[in-house]
Amino acid sequence: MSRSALAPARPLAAAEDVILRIENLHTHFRVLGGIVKAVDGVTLTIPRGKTVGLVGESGCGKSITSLSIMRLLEKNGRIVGGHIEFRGKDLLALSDAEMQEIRGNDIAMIFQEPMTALNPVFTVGNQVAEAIQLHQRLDRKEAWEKAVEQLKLVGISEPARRAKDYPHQLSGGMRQRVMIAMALSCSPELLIADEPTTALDVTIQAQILELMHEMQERTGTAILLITHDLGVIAEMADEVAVMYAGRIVEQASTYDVYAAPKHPYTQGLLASIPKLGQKQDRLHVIKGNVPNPLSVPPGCSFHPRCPHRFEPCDKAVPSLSEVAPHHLAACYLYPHVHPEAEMEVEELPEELAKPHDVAVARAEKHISAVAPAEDAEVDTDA
Amino acid sequence: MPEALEVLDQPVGEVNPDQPLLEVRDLVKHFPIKGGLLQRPVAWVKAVDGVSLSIKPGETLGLIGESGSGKSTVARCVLRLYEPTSGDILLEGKSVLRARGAELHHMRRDMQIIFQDPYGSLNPRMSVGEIVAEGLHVHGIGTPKEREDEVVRLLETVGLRGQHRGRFPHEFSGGQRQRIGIARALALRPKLIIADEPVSALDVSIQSQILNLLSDLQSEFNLTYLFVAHNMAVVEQVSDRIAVMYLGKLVETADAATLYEQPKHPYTQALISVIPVPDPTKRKEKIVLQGDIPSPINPPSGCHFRTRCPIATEYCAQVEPPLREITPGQWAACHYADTSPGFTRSDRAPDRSGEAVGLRQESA
Amino acid sequence: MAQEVVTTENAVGQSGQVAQAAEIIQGYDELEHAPELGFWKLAGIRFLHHRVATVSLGVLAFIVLAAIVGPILEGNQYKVLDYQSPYHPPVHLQLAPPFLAGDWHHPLGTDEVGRDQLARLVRGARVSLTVGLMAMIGYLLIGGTFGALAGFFGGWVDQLLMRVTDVIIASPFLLVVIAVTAAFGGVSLFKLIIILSILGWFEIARLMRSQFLSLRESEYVMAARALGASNFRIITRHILPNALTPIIVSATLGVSGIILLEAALGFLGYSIPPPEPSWGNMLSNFEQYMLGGYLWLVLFPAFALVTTALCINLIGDGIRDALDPRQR
Repeated sequence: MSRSALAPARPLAAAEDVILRIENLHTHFRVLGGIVKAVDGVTLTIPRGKTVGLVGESGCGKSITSLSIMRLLEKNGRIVGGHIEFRGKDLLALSDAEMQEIRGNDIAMIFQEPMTALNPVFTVGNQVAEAIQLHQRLDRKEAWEKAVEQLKLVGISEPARRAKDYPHQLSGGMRQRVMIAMALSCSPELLIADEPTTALDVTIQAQILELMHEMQERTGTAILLITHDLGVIAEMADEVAVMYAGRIVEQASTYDVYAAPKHPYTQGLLASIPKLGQKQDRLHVIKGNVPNPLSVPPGCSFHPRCPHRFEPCDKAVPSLSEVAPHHLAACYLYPHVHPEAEMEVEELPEELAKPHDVAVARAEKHISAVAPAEDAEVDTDA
Repeated sequence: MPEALEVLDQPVGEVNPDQPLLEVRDLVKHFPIKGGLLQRPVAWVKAVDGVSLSIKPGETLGLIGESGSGKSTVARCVLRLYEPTSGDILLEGKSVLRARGAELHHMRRDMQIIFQDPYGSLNPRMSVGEIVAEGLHVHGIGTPKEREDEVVRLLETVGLRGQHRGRFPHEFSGGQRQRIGIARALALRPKLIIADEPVSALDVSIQSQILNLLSDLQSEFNLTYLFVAHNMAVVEQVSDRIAVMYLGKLVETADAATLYEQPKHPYTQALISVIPVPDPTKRKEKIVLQGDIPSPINPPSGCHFRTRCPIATEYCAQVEPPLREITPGQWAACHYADTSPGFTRSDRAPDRSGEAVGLRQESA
Repeated sequence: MAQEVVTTENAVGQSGQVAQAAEIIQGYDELEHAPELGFWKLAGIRFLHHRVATVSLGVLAFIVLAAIVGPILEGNQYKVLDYQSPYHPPVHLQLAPPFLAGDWHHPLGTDEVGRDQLARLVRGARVSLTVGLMAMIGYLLIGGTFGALAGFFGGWVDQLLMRVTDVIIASPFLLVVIAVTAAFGGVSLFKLIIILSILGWFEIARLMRSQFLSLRESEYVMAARALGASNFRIITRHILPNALTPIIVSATLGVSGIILLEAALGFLGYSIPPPEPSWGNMLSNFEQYMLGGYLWLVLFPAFALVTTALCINLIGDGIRDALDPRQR
């Protein structure tokens, strides 16, 4: 992979080069029990042709961010504040029909579970052709031929034959290739990949990552890569944004984030993963648990688990500011980081709440009602 | 007549450190695929196709493999949760497969399992206390009061509060549920614990907590682990020795350090080379295997790996390579294992029968 | 057996490392007080959010109350024959004064032999509800057992039990009822419940079987097996409590079916014999009533049947949504 990962920090993109700009995005959900602030003030820019990694654990809001961009939120969720600009157009102001023009065409998305993302009753060729037909006004025959060509481009052998297969006849890796084919068939400018390789075996993951990189070089598509796997990010992303409890806590080029992480969460995370070839006596541990989305700690949401917390940390949310050249972090340990003003957002009405109860929400977010108790361990210095 | 609680705390007794605690001999497990009017088996899923391994007391053996490798099936066969098709399992020299009734019941005390899915492995309708105490209950150990005290002790040992024993699994986070599963496994003071992907479903920051806990418990309770996983870095962290499986067969075993530094089997080499490393400065040579993992219903003839192997030859299709000792303590099942020091592209033409095959080498 | 017993306490005390694992995070004890919203409580809350189901529950409660209290108040009125006042219409509005006509002694009118319809209606309610409930219990006992065993053991046990089920499904319901009635000399409440139970448990059996088939592969079942739990314990303690959700829904909806079935049998004359009324046998002279223009004699029992069945169905829907919101 010819990427200058060894080069020192590059400036974050200049305005003309930016494909997607998210500013202070707030997405809230109404559940039986309150409001979940899934995305709580996210600012991110994606430069043309580059790969930006959005990394975080479950419940941090990374997937919701991507769904917000695509405006594919469920009924009980709404974007209550902020802007999303795509090539200068305000996405939040578009009508449904206009948004539909953009989806699949200018911004495409691939998901974690290709089996559930593909329709089981249609052949894969059909599904790729459908995407093409929708956006490129070709007739069925031409769309089919183009679909077969796409399948070939993603490395599926015997594409003409394979196009007539149904999703269940293909392996996981193949299905993900089909998804990529579908996503890239209309040459989108931005590809959002939400955990694209998490469900795949390591050797297949390697193939898919290689494919994604190839396709990016060929088509110049920018990629927003969402994952919890720090290894995948290190391989694929040019820039990384680390999310925690709905906010971005650190953002810089990949090299900078891994070589010199600034935020204690990032530091803890990088220190706690086992590294091949470097067996440790005891792994570093981040105390405690991810917070309950219905009761996020005040101030910096990471402070209860932070080994460096001090006086201002529980008072107000720290701003995401430049703490080193082209390196942003939201932590009071650094100068330039100041308390962020609370944004006035619209309140979601109670009626929106589905009987999607608190227990289910908890289960899905991997957080508990029961106090973290003795989860903690004395942590070693990062 | 309930047994007294103290029965659990019998000291380990005379332990011969050289006799393996667990021995698996030529384990085979084929699952039938039924079809037709009479539901007769029309094909077999050869999940495990002749696996032998052994674990010494106090050791941790890591078992690694991708989908279809059969590693979880091996784990379950050891506990006789599946009935093996053939082969034998010996726990401290006694056959698990030939034990029956009361004898098997008693043997279960010595071997327990921790599952991958923290949500599926706990009965949602039972309280945490009942879940943890189940083993004691089933084996008639202790009075109800003693059991309750033991439950509190166990919960605290794994880092939870005893007062939460009346709560239900859905009220806990994934990491906490996994701890409950560990407490459940510990209740009977087993000698062997099989950990079937215990951290794969957990968040990254919780994984290290659980791995440290497992390590602490191992020294505390003199446990022996069979640690099954697909994440090589995790396996390397916890294991003394590692066994690599592919499509029902064991392809390599070695101790952890040697496996990483000098893998001999081409599959292991490829696997290690493509694992994403969280360090953008470490660019390494990648061996990206082409093609998909074949189906265990119809594995390739001869060496199961030959369809994706960069150095496979005609011979590999005809003769299945036996697991042989390449260097002391390191075993690999490959005809050409000892001829390649690291890995280099060989001049031999790769075998093209079966699925697509080939070598793609990537460099920075 | 003088051996040194090493207890956990000693072990923990000696090892610094395990004690180290016991550090508590301060300040988050508020989470300890999070209400223990058990599964059933949560389901109850969700049910109450469902307005239609709650209203139906209210109506059904009223009907049940009427069925219990009504006959006590009415006493033997239901069978009192009054040849003096046959075919009295119920209390109704009319255009000429006095604007309210009808006899308040017989607010719902009388039938061809002068029996009070109100008394008969509330007494009939007893029959319908009792048969509905008891036959469903029969379904659950027979069908539940068959389904659980078939689903759990699989193999030949499954095949055998399912063939028995097929026999039941294939039986011509009405003919069997007629034959059994003839053979055993008439129908009583008890006999009716038995017959209905024996002929209708297959749906529950199928449901239970499919639940067991899927749940027996759960990891917690495997864990229980690894601990040494017996099959009995696994069936009753592990799988059964988790299998209940669709069973409860099906059982609730099934009760309305049984009530309507009993009504059909009553109409045909194969339910409770007179003078005991059931909503079905109150309709058995339906043609006579229609031709004679005595609509109230048809309307009230029919209305009672429809309302009860509807309420039960709506409650069943509410229960289904409450127990498994993701099923929407």
